[in-house]
Amino acid sequence: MADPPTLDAICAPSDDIVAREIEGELLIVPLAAGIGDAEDDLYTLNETGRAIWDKLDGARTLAQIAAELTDEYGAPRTAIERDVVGVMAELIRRRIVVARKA
Amino acid sequence: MSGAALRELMRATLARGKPFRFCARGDSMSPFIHDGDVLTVAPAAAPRRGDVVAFLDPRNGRLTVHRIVAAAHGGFLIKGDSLRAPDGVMPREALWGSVVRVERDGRAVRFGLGIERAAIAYLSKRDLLRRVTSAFPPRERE
Repeated sequence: MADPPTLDAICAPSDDIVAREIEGELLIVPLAAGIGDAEDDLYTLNETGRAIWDKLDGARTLAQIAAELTDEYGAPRTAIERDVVGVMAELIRRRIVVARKA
Repeated sequence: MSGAALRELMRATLARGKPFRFCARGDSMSPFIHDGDVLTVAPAAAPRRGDVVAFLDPRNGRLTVHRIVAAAHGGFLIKGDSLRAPDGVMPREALWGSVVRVERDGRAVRFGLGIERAAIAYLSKRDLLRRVTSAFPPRERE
């Protein structure tokens, strides 16, 4: 299993997915396996995941995203950073997000 | 997953040239496709009689999976295998893709998609299919 991203990583949605907001819900189908599998490989994001996803622009580091979310939600920064890294690690593992060093 | 979600995800996936796998609902293609079967639809380069295709039904805007029973002026005559009446003639551009795989209870079901599909189309078009299938249930083999 790959190491989780660090806070200085820059993440962005993979080009190899289909992501659509339908009836208020973001639905994601990875295509990296060569097929869009809505039966066994369909993802939605909870509130935390969606808040992070909406800030993935391929320009900001995870630390910057965590800082913005800390200001917006007033939660402890270390907890926010842990959530951001955790969510990104999972999305990277599922080939929904790609990461690179800043 | 709602019909709107299924339509949009399938459309977007096929537009990327990738096949799309999803759970089918309804019995209009019985006995070859059952409610709950998992279908894989691939972009269709050259649809032919007998192919099971996904298309957007202009009568109700619903995503439908039925069989091409004949070529027709302006497109293809399409009909559900267990239905009495055809859906009508759909233009080529209305067809999103062809079913390339049917799975039931985790196993591939091939009968209805192979060389027999032209015969199925022939019988279905003449509304003879329901009489035949009631006497001879389809074989399932991997």
